[in-house]
Parts: sequence; structure tokens; C-alpha cells
Amino acid sequence: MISIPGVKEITDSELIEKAKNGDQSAFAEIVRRYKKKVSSTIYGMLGKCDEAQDIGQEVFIRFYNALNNFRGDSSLSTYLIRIAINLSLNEIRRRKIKRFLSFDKILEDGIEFADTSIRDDSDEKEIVHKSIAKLSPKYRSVLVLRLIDGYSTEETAKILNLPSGTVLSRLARAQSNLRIYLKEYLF
Amino acid sequence: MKNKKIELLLYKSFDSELSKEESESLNKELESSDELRELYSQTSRIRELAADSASYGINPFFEEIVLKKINEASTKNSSIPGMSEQLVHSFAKVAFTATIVLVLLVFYNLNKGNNLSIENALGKSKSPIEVAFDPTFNLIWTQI
Repeated sequence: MISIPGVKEITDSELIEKAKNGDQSAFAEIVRRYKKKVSSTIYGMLGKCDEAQDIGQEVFIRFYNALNNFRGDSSLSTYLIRIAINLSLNEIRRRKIKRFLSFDKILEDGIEFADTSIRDDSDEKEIVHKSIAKLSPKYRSVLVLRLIDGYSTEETAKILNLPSGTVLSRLARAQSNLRIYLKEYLF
Repeated sequence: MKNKKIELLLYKSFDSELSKEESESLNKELESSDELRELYSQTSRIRELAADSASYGINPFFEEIVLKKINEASTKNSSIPGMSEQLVHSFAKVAFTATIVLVLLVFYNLNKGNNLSIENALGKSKSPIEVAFDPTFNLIWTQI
């Protein structure tokens, strides 16, 4: 975020109030502030795909439509990331159904083998990214929020509406599964 | 990993503060177990790579696209009136057409009857109802 010295920065709640009163430039500023975070979460959840951009835009459209219901109980960031996670989970569900209908579904103890093939010339970053996309959604969501987006365990728990203990155990399981999968490529 | 409890403790150490006892127990195991040390270094590497793996390209016109979609949706919604609005709109059209038809009929009646009375304008007949329904009534009546 660019801050000009001496110029008071507008807070999220001020922007929300302005947006509620129909100020579209205020809403555009909200989008500008959070598009990176939202995109990071969606790409982490879904991997590189055509739908990611659309889902990112859908997050803000949903927020705009629900502006008057936003009471500020949770921070704007938490609220937006929660929408992003929910829409990503919907997309994963949609893909699963699609895959099921095309008779190409394999699920195995927390690891979902999706069609994210790792080539021999893939770099480490790509391998990790594709491996994360192979984790089942419940493990993937905690891993993306905690490791990629950098939220604390408590923040992750708040976004996903889970107890901290559950987040910690899912993180452990996610990392364990990821290590099993990456053993072949990295270690 | 044979000791599941220690493995979980190791993972926990990355994301949460350990109690003094937990910390001591983990350090003790790390000193004695090569397998646990390997797990520690692999997990650290995975976490580093994961943190660095966020790669995404955001459309440079992201905000504009979002606002355009919002505006398009609101225009679409405002162009679809509710049922009550549709009824009011339709009624106005029907009422206007009916008024024109009535005015035309009044002029037609006035013109045909060659008389400026209200009865004539409204098409009221001076004949009794029997005559209106039976044109031969007057004929028969006069004959009698």
C-alpha cells in the first residue's frame, strides 16, 4: 500500500462506510488493497487455472453485494479471505463432481491425486505448488493460509472458524502428507 | 517416524509455542535421533518452499473488471421491474387506451345521433329495454 507522508491514510472501516454510501472509488480502493491477498489464497487453493481470476473477482462482487450486512465483527481481511476459501472449496467440489462424472477420481487418505502432473524439468517451487494442490481441501486450506499467506495459527483458525487445536493437527497432517509426496522429488 | 507424539510435537513447534516440558522433550529427542533431525530439516525446507511458492498473475485491470461486473449486474437488476411495478405500468397503458376508446365512442354517438344530449353521448337509448332486445316490438305494439 502506498502511503504519502503527512497524508492521513483512510482506514478500512472508513472505506467501507464510503462504499456503503455508493462511493465506487472507495470500493475500488478496497479491491486494490486486498486483491493480492485474495488472489494468493485462491491460487494456493486451486493452483494456476483459468477460473482463479474469475473467482478472485467474484469474492469482491459478493462482498459488494453484502456490504450492508458487514458489521465489522471480523476484520475485512478475515471476511474476504473467508469468502475466497469458501468459493475455492465450491470450485474444488465442482471439479470433483466433474472428475467423478468423467470416471477419473482417486482419493487416498488425505491425499487427492489430481491431474497436476509434475514434469522432470519442473523447478522446486513448481513441484511444491503442485503438491499442495494435491492435498485434500481441508488440509490444503490450513496450509495455504498458514504457510503461503502467512497468517498466524489463531488467524487461520478464525478465518476457517475452527479451534486452534484442529488447525495445528491439520497442519501437522498436511505437512506430513506433503513430505511423503515430495520425498520422490526433493529429498 | 516411530514416535508419533514427538513427530506431532515437532510440527507443533513451527506453528505454536511449546510448553517448557514439551520443548525439553523435543530437544532431547532431536539430539538423539537422526531420523527426527532429518524430519526437522525436511519440514523446514518444505515450509520455506511453500512460503515462496505463491505465484500468481493478477490482471492489471482487476479493479476495473470488478467494478464493471458490479455495474453491469446492478443495471441488469434495475431493468427487471418487480411484479407490482409491472402491474402499475400495465394498468396505466390499459387505462389510457380505454379513455381514448370512450372519447371516440362519445364522438361517434354524438355524430350519429345528431343530438348533444348526455344520453346520446353515452349511447343511451330512449326506447324501453323490450324494444332494444326485440326490434319487432314497436311494430306489433302499434298494430295493436
